Amino acid sequence: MPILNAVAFERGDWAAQFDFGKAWPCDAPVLVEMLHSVSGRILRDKACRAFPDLATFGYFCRAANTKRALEGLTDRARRFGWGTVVHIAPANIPINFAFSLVMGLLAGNSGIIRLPSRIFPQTELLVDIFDDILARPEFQDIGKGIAFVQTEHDSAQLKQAIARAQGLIVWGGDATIERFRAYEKAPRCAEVYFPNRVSSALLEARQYLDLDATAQTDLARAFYNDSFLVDQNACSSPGIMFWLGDQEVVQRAKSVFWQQLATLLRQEYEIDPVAKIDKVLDVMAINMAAGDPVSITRDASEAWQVHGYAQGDLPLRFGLFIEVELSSLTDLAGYLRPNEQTLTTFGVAPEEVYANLKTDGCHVDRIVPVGQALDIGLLWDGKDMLSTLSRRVQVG
Amino acid sequence: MHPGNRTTHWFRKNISRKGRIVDVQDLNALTEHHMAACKPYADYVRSMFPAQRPGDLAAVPYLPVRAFKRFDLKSVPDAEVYKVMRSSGTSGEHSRIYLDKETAQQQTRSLIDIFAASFGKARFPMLVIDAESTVKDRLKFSARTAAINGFSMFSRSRCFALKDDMTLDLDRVMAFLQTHKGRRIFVFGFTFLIWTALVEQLRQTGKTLDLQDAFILHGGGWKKLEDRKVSNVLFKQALAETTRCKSVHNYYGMVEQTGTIFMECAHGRLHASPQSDVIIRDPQTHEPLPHGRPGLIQVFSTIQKSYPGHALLTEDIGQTHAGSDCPCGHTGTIVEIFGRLQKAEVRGCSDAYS
Repeated sequence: MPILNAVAFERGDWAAQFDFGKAWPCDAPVLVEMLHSVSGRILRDKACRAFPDLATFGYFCRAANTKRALEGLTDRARRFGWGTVVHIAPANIPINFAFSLVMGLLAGNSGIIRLPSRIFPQTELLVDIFDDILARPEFQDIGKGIAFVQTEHDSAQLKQAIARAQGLIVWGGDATIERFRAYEKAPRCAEVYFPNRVSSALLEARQYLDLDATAQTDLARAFYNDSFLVDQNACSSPGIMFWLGDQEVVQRAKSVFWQQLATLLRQEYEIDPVAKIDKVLDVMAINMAAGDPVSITRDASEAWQVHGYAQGDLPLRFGLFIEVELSSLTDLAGYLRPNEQTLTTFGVAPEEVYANLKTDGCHVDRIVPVGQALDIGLLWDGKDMLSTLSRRVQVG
Repeated sequence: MHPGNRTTHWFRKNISRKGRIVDVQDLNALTEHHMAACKPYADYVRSMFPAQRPGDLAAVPYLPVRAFKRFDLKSVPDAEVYKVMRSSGTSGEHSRIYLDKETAQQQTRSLIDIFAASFGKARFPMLVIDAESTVKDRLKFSARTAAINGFSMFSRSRCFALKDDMTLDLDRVMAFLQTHKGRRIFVFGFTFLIWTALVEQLRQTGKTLDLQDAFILHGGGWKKLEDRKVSNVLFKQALAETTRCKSVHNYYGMVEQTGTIFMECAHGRLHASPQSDVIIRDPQTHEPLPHGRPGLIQVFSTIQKSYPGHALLTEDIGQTHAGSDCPCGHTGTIVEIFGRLQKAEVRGCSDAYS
């Protein structure tokens, strides 16, 4: 059914059409087939082509991809979804609601997806496609277990749905999470929260300098996609830049890197004027945290580099990066913050970084190449969503 | 004795001179004063403007006016704080402006000078287009309260034109005008209240007032009127029609720079006062822009000594013109206000529930 607006949702008559509690076995082929059909529609749809995030989602939903993911789920033939999962989607990342839904579906769960008050064009395109596909006779049963809704902030219906639901996924700032944690839930409700996180990048200076000019441009692009594409404001966008190598090499690498990025920024990045003022004020906040003036390099681009302080919970957004030089990988662990989520790397293999961090408890949840910071997957924030959102039936 | 005292001498001297264009050296001295007396400000300047050399107005380190909402910034010891001004905030954020006696006095003197230059030195029967509860209720202290109280020093008796529900008390107004018949009346109010409570309510009731010997001073911004497509020209026409008043003056000012307001002259232009000035910066790069190019408004004031408010980058959009271009005789730089920056949809994960 189309998006239920807040008034219609609050009336509650939608509930008669909704198969509350519906769950499928994790190896039900129909879920994979349905998502594959959605994928096909997205990738063929002209209107969708304007949105790279829709294309990414389209590829994500292909059967080849989802089957591979399900193959990694232990004993999937004996797993079931928990039932109906309520998804609280974030306001600022348009397609996140759909990834959340797919996480639930692949694990065999029906879902009520609470969309933010602002509907993006991508949201409408995608909900229309889902509606079309779910209207097909072979997918109608799935359709009865999917509802896209909008609600008031303190919707009684939403609270009721959460109180009944077998699962709840909340994407949010910490305040949002606090709010939903306090709501009443069924004793067995599977709850998954995605709170505020921070992230970093690690670049090996020698390897970087050894790249040819094209590869350096590509890396600048990959870094841009991780950070400036979302105003450096996503949880997985890097805030701290770790430079690994001998001091002299690091100096040269930095200089080339920021120049490359500046060229790209001048062509493509427009900072919102209010964000620019926030950024200037963030400098004051960082100084206050540091207790002394930090030194900032501002080379006529929006990538500002802060030197000499890397502790605490600092506002690093809209192009504010703290630079830390490491002479050895073993020094890295000491700089990772308590809520560090993603470490994007270049020039050092993620495996090598992990091996190094392992002895210190590895306080990051993702170590992926530069360029993949925002690539959401079924493993997110350290949570294996398919196993978290399904129950394993012991047989015999 | 706090570290700022070394600048007191030039400061007093400066205030005693009148009618001069703001001197960038006074602003530079204030930057030094605030750096010596307010560590967060000093650290901010050292971080943001490490290589800055004294130069023209654009070279004076700027501070976003929103800093006073996010941080406590003062250049006087707590014991010398005489009062704290708060701005009205749209999103629950308020500016906190710390005034010592000296700065509060300078603000008053500056306001007196600016007022006198436009309306003469007399005190007037004052008709306030607001409710008395706005100034009475200490809990409701706002920019409106501050403005009404500030301008009340030019009054000899005061009448609040509105009831507590913001409707016009026409009987009370008529009685006040009758009492002061033949005298020049000073009408003061916030722009949107003059529109909604005076103009619109007079129009609805089909009544008019005789304020042809009065002058109207109004400020507080045009945002709410822009939404109703009311321009300054339309505003004046409507007042002429409903009150017969032809002397209508807007001012541009903010609680973060009380005293040095920009007053609308007889030719409809907002001029900087002798102790203030204005430049425009590009909203994205913050580079200074010449006269006639729209951008972010940055305001200067040489009288703000107890907090670092002498060079503030606002979130208002406008453009400047040379003061000498105006036949009115005021030479202060002219600022033309276009409106407020709109906050764009911020990308990223925070503030997820909406």
